[in-house]
Amino acid sequence: MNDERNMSRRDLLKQGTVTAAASVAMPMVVARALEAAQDPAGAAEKAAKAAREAAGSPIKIAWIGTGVQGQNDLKQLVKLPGVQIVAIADVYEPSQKKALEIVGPGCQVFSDYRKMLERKDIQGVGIASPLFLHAPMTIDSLNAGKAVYVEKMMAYTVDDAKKMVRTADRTGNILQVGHQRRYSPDYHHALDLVKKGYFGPITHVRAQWNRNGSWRRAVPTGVENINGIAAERFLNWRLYKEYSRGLMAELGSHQIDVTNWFLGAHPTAVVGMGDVSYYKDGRDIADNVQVIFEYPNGAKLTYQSICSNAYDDFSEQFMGPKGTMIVSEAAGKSMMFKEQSAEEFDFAKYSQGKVNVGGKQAILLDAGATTKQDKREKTAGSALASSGVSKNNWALSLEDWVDCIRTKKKPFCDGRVGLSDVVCVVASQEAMEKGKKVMITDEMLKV
Amino acid sequence: MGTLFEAILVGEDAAWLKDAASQALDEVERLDALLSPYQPGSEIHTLNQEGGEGWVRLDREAFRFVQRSLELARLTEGAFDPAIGALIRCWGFHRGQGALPDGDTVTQALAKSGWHGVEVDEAEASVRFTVPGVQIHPGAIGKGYAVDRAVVILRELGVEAALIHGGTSTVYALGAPPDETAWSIGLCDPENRETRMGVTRLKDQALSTSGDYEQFFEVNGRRYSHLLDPRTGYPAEGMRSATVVAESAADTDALSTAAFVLGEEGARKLLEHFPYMTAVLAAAQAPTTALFGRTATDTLAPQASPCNDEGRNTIDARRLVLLGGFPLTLADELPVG
Repeated sequence: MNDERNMSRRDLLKQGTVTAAASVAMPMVVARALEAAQDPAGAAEKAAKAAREAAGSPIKIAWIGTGVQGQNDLKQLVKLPGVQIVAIADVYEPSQKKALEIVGPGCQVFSDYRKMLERKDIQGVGIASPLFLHAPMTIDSLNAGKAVYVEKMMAYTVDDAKKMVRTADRTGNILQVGHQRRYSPDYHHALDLVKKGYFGPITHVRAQWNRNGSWRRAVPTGVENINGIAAERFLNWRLYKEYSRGLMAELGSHQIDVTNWFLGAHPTAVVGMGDVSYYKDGRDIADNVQVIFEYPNGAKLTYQSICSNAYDDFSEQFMGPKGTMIVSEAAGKSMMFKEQSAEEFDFAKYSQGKVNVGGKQAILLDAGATTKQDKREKTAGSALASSGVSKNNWALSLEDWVDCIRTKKKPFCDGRVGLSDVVCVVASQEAMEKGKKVMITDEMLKV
Repeated sequence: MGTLFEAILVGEDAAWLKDAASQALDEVERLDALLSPYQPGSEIHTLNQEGGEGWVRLDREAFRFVQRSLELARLTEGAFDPAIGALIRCWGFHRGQGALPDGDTVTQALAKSGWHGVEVDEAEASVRFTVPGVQIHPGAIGKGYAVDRAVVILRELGVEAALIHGGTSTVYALGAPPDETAWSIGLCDPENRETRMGVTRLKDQALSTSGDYEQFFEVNGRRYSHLLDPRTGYPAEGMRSATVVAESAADTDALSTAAFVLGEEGARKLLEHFPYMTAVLAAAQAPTTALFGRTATDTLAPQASPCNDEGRNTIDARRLVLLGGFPLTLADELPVG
C-alpha cells in the first residue's frame, strides 16, 4: 500500500464523518463524494472545489482518440474546475469535430498525436484510442513528460502493459488506467461489506455483460477508407483481432478487475469457450464468450458476455455462505440477498429498504449507508433521506487523475492494476482459442 | 426517458440500416443518461441537486439544452416551462400517475417553479437557481431533443428515409419513403383513440402532439391531465389536443405543450415568435372554426367527416383550429393501429 492511500485513510479518520467507509482504502475523490452525500450543504465538496480553484493556473490536458469514449471522457473533464483542454488528436475528422463541440473554442486539433506531444505546456494526456494503440501512445506520452490517463483495457499484450508500467516507473510520470469502478462510492461501499464478512468468505462470483445488438457501427455512405484503412474495419475495430480483444477486453476487463479487487487476489487459472455464434458477418471477434477463472482459495468467477440477448445486462454477483451481493453501475440494481440459514443482515436497517426480486426478499444497497450509521447516531437520522453520491464514476476517476497531476500523488488505479487485468484477459483469450486450461502465474505479473 | 423510442429506416441494405437504427437509438440512450432528472449522475440530476447552492457547470450540450428550454419558456411566456419539477412532483405525475393535491400544496410548489428562477452564465456554461426549490424537468422537450439528435446521427450516416418517434407523441420524418413525396402521419382523435381525426404528410419535419388523454386521473368526474399550466400550477383546461409541426422536434415538443396550455388565442400569438410552426388544435368544448397563419389557405379548411368506416362519432370539425399551413386531410388514409 502506498503512502497516498495511507494518507487518504488517515485524513478520513481525522475527519471522523466517514469512519466506517475509511476502513477501506479509497481515493480521496471517493471519500469526498461520500462525505458530500452526507452533507446536504456540500461543505466538503465546496472546500475541495475551492482548494482546486485556488491551486493556481489550470492543468493543461490533451486528449488522443475522440470517438465515443473519448467524447464521454472530455465531457467529464471540461466540467472540472482548474482544467483546460488545450489540444485533441484524432485521425478521423468527424470525431475531431464532435470533440470540439464538447471542448469549445481555443483547442488545437492534431491528426498526428506525436506532433501534439511536442507542446511543452501539456501536462496530462488522456488516451481513448483503439486497444492496439494504447501502448505506443502511452509510452510516447510518458516519455514526453506527460501524465497519462489510458482507457481500459490498458494494453493489447501483457508485454505492452509491462513496458507501459516500466516507462511510468522510469520517467516518474503518472499512469492511471480507466477502470472507473475503482472510483465508485457504491463499489467502495460494497467492498466494505464484503470485507466485514456479511456474506462469509466469497466462494463464487458470477458476472455478465449481455447485450442485444451487432456491436457494429454503420459506415457512412460514400466513405470507403479512413486513414488508409477500409472504413468498415476502421470504425469497427472492436470486431477484429488485429486491433481488439473483443468482449473480454472491452467489457469483461471491468468486471474481472472488480473481482480481483474485491477478492484481493489474482486468478491462478482460466478455462473458456468463445466464438462467433450469431453475427457471422465477417468479424473474427467472438460474440459469445463464457469463461471460468479460478482463484487461489478455490473461489471461482464465471463470466459471460453475449451480443444476442440482453437479459441481466451487466452486474457482478458475489456469493458466500451467508448471502449474495449484486453490484452494478446501473442505478438501483445493487442489492443483497440473505441465505436462509444466516442471521439477519445487521446492515439491513441502514439500507435503502427491502424489495421483492423474483419472489425473494432483497435489500437495496446504498453507498451512503455505511457512513449513515455514524450520522444516524449523531443526528437522529435527519439527513438520512438525502440521496447518495450524484457524481458518476467517470467524473470521479478523471477528477482523481487531475488531482494526481496537481499534487504528484500516485493514482489509485495505476499501471500495475491495469497489468493484472490484461494478464487475466489475455489468458482467457488463449484458453478460448486453444480450448485448454491456461495457468496464470505470478511470473506473468512481474514488471 | 421512460418512454418507447422506435425508428423505421428505409433503404437497400437491411443489415446496414439495422446498425444505423441501433446507433440512432444509442444516441437516445446517451441523452437519457445526460438529461434524465431521475438518473443520479446525469447533468440535470446534478443541476437539480446543486443548482440551489450556486453555479453548476454543465457540459456544453446539456447547457445548450437548458438554454434553449429557457428561451422557449420566455417566448411562450411560460406556457412551456422546463423549471416545473416541483409542480410535477406535487401532482404525482413523475410516478406516471397522479393525485389531487390540496390548494396550499399547489401554491407552495408553484412558488418553487418557473423559468424566472433559473439563471445561466454562457461563458462558463453554468446554471444556478435563484429561487429556492426550483428543479428542471425536461419532460416537455427532452423527447423531442433526443429525436432531433437521433436524426442527426441518421443523416451523418447517409440514411435517406426514416421515421423516428419518441413515445408516439413526437415524431420526425426524415426524407420520404421510396416512390412517395412524404411520410403519412395519422393524428389520433382525442375523442376516440381508435380512430384518427386526420392524416398529415411530412418530409424533413417534426410533429408533436400534446393530448389530455395520455396521462390523467379523474376525481368526481373531472379530468386532471398531466399537462400542467406552469403559470397556474393546475392542469391546463380547454383543449383536448394540440399538434405542432416544425423543423425541430425539440421545438414541436415544447410548442405543442405551450399551444395546449394557451388555447386558441394564445396559440395564435405563438406564430409571432415561431412563424415556421403550424398547428392543429382540438378544443374541448366551444365550437370554434378558425383558420389562420402564414400559409393558411381555404384549401386547408377542415372537412367534417367521420374517420372510420363504421361512422362512429369522431371529433367535431368545428372544434378543430388550424394554425399556419397545417397539411391535414380529414380522411382515414392509413390503417388504424
